[in-house]
Amino acid sequence: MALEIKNLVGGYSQLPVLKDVSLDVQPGELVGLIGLNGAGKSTTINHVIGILRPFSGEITLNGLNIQNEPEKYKRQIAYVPETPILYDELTLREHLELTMDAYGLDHDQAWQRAHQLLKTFRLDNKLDWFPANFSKGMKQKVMICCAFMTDAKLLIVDEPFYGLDPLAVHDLLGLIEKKKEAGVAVLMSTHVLDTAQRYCDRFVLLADGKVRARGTLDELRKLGDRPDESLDEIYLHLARDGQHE
Amino acid sequence: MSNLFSKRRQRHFMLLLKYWRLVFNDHFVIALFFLFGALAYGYSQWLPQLGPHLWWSRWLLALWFTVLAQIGRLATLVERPDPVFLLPQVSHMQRYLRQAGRYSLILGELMTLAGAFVALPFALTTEKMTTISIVAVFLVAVMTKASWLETAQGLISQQWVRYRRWLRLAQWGIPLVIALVTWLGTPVMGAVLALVVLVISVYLFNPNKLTIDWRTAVKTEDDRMYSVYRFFNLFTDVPKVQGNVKRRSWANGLIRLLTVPGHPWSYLYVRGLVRNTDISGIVIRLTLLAMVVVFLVPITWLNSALAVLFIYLIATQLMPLFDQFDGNVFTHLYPVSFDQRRADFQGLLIRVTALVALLIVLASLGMGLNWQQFGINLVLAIIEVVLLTRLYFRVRIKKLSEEN
Repeated sequence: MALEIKNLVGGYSQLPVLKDVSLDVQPGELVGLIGLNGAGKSTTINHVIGILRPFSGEITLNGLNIQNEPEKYKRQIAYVPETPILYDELTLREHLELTMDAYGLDHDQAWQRAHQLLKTFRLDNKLDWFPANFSKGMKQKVMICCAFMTDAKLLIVDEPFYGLDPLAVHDLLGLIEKKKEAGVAVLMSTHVLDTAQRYCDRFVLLADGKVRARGTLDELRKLGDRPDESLDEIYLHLARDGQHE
Repeated sequence: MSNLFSKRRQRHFMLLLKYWRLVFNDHFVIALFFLFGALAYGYSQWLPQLGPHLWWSRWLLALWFTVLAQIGRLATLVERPDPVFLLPQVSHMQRYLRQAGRYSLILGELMTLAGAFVALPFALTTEKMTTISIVAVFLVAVMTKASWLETAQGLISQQWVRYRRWLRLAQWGIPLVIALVTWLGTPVMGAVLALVVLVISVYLFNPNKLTIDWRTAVKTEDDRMYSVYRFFNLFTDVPKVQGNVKRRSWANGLIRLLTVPGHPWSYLYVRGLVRNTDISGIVIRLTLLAMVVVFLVPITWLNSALAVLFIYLIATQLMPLFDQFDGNVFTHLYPVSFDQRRADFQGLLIRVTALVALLIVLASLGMGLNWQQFGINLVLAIIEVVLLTRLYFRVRIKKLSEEN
């Protein structure tokens, strides 16, 4: 059992955004977190990475709880945020080195992985540049390199496809596939549903801070009694139903 | 729309008020008062030593009044989204800019008058001044400032934006010519010239005849607000001041020297300090100023007091670096404890303040190699650095973490 969220109630101030959310991500599995704007995807992710503290409920990662053992817990997660977040003061090389120091990685091994990633994303000739001045897509690639270089057991990827060129999207999906093979659990939030349909093992559909549906594509089809529909169509139906309620 | 400017001005006042309140709460300001007091004292001690008819006094006055004209910029209070939201408002914008011009004029003239008053004792000591010439000098200063601000209206207009460089030059050149005529010629001649210039600039740069150049206007106002924020950032943390970043590859050795290997927070703090022009800039400027001051001041107790004061000031400027990176979510994700972070910051603080203190103490040797002064300052500096980096640092960090 990698990530397990049980009955999570949480949010930014006193007002709960998430109401009783439960989900899990198993090792070697890619779970898609799906929902409209404001459904609670990013809030869920912020709870998992420990930026927000749950009002009630529990989040555990391989049996570790962030409140009890924050350092061990944090060592096991890597995060690619929705909008790239970089240090103005650091070069690309230094972003990677800082990540290595923070996660206590062996520099030689980590650099081997980093060089491969940089090559994949055609950033290997920009090591001494300040990525804060890069384009959106290139910044996103830096975030991906930093996260995928670690040996985290859980990868959290928030809306990763925005701003990436088609080649980079393809490469990213390949990287996720490799991580899965290595037994890493991946939680990905996205709106790009046709891609999600092809690559995710399971889905969690959030609406209004609650889990509306969960399962594999087949299970979702059965649930809505719509045997031939794509994830996109199922999602649209569920979303419209939700709004009519 | 018609009272947009007054609404903005009100909001601007509230913002300034908020920051001024914070400024007067900080002990930094007490130190600054001390410094100003020392300056004023020095000025009053210096004047009687001057005889009349010094060859350089008129040039210095001309320079002073030229620089004085540059102080107090045009505050348009335009904001980034304005070009989109106010695009259809043409005549209203002219009115808006007239109001902005009036507001800036009042502030600018107040500062000009204050600056002129500061120069007055000096001018009276070195020059023969009649009542008429004193009045003329004040008129010159006021009119020069007014035409300077009119020119600033031209600078943000589509009609004049192509001649930007020339207008910027004129903002320095014309006050310089007027000041030279005033001090090398006669103040009355200067006043006549200033009046002519004012009439011409009012005619040329009347906002009613100009169309605002949004890109330049927003950029200019952003720069102005940034320098306002930077001033307040000396005393308190202003969220909008992030500072510019420079690569400074030449400082790589220094970065390596200061970084503790394998410590992510040390890695981050050192690079933040060296490359962010904001904090490193103020530390370098204050250190150089301190070195010059303690090099020149011959009175032992004052020299030591100033050295201690400057080391304190510089150490306080380093404190905001502690939570500089809190806006970056990744600093919360690193599997590193808070104690580790605090220890890394403290390590850097010790190294930097010790280095700065050493430089200041060395400078206090002065021209005459005053070893006694050096010894006193060295002992004081060592005690101070220990106190600052242990006690004071603890208190500040505790205060910071309570605020969060």
